[in-house]
Amino acid sequence: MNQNVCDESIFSSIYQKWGKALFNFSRYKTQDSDKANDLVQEAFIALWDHCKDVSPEKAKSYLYTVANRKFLNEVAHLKVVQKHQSETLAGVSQEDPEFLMEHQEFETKLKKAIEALPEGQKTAFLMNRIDQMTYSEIASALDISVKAVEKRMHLALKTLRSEIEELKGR
Amino acid sequence: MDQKLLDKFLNHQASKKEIEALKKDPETADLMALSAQAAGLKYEGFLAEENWRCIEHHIEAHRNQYEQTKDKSLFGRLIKLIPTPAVRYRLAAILVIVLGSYFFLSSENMALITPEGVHRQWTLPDGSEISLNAGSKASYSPESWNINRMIDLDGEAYFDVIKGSTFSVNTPSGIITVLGTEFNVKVRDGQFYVHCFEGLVKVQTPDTTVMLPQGSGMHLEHGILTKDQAIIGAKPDWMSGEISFENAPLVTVFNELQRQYAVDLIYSADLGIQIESAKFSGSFTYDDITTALKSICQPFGLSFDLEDKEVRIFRD
Repeated sequence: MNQNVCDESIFSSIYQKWGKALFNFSRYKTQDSDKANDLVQEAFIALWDHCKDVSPEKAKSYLYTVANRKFLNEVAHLKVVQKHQSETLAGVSQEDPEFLMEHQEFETKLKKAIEALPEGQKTAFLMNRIDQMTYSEIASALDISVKAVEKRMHLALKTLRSEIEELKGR
Repeated sequence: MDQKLLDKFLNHQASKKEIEALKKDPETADLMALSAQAAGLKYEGFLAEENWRCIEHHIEAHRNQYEQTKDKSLFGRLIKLIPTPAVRYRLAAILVIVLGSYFFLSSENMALITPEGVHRQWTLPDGSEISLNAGSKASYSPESWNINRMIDLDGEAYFDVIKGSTFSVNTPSGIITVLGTEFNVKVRDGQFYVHCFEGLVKVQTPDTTVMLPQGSGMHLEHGILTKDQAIIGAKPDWMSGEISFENAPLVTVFNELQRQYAVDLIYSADLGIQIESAKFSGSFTYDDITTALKSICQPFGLSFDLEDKEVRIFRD
């Protein structure tokens, strides 16, 4: 009834259940796994500090909200990191494409095309695809409307398809 | 292209039949293949154990810190300054005689105290107001008031809080936090009441947290929290001449009467009822003790003798 997440066994089960998904989410946003692990830690620490106010049902959306907010707070700093990251990625994939198996090549290219999407579209798209979240779950995690999620999904798919078709044509 | 159906598919809600239908359209088939590919992507680098160690470390550190803050409660420190209960009582008695109601300034804390039979109102450093019902005490630190609006309370008080930083009231039964509002707090005989008259109040007890919007209240008794009915009126009744109770133990009502009129009640051995278990619903006035005693005693068929500062309760 008035259950909250202060109970350590409940708290650790929440980590077991949502830790990886929260990492993925943070990873999509930051494009940096160190930073993403940091965001996971910060979000869970914030959840613990406010454990009395959060019911187990609300914990997941609380975690996403915190990670999202912390990401936005540092967005100026992260923009620099992202630029650096995508440069290194581009360097890697251009060095040895010929040695990659065909499907690996496709995957790398798809990943690159996804990384190039605007941040909002990319996050919504990957939460839906990799973490199997529904539109309404994504909406509540990102604090946007379901309509906005739909729109991001459509735009992301549209962009990706035209990118991939371009790749096929090469 | 059927965008709605594609959304249904992406939303993990499409049936097998619907998926088949989507695959027939080359355009959607393309998008579905792309989506399936994307679903297979993996992002490595999650440090499950290392993250958990850091989080656990924080939990440990935070738990110790929490226990320390509890020990440092202002009232705890104030009470510790006075060596024994006997000395405390004597000190209080002397001050009551001299001042009627008074405040006591220590190097750290300002204590506001109302003896039995006295109501009084104070203005706090930020302009917020506190009204203490009879036999209550509150204390706060003027030094840290600007940073931290925190007040310790034992007894009953009504607060009219000026908007600003968080304002919190610590009681033995729980903590109340607000930003700017009017509310009443009562901590008596192990019971804990909070009523919100304006704004929004947050009450934290060791077990739970409740939010009380304007016009609602709660009470905690024997560890059971109950939300109270809507409040009628703009101020608690004790501030307008009446003290009212709903289904309260008779002993609680008599204790309140002792506080309001600063009298001693003596119960005769054969009352015919248990004052701990008999329940009283109603009110008594606090400007006429005879009327007040009548309104409490009559429903139970009890009588009283009032002599100076002593009231004897008996059954005819």
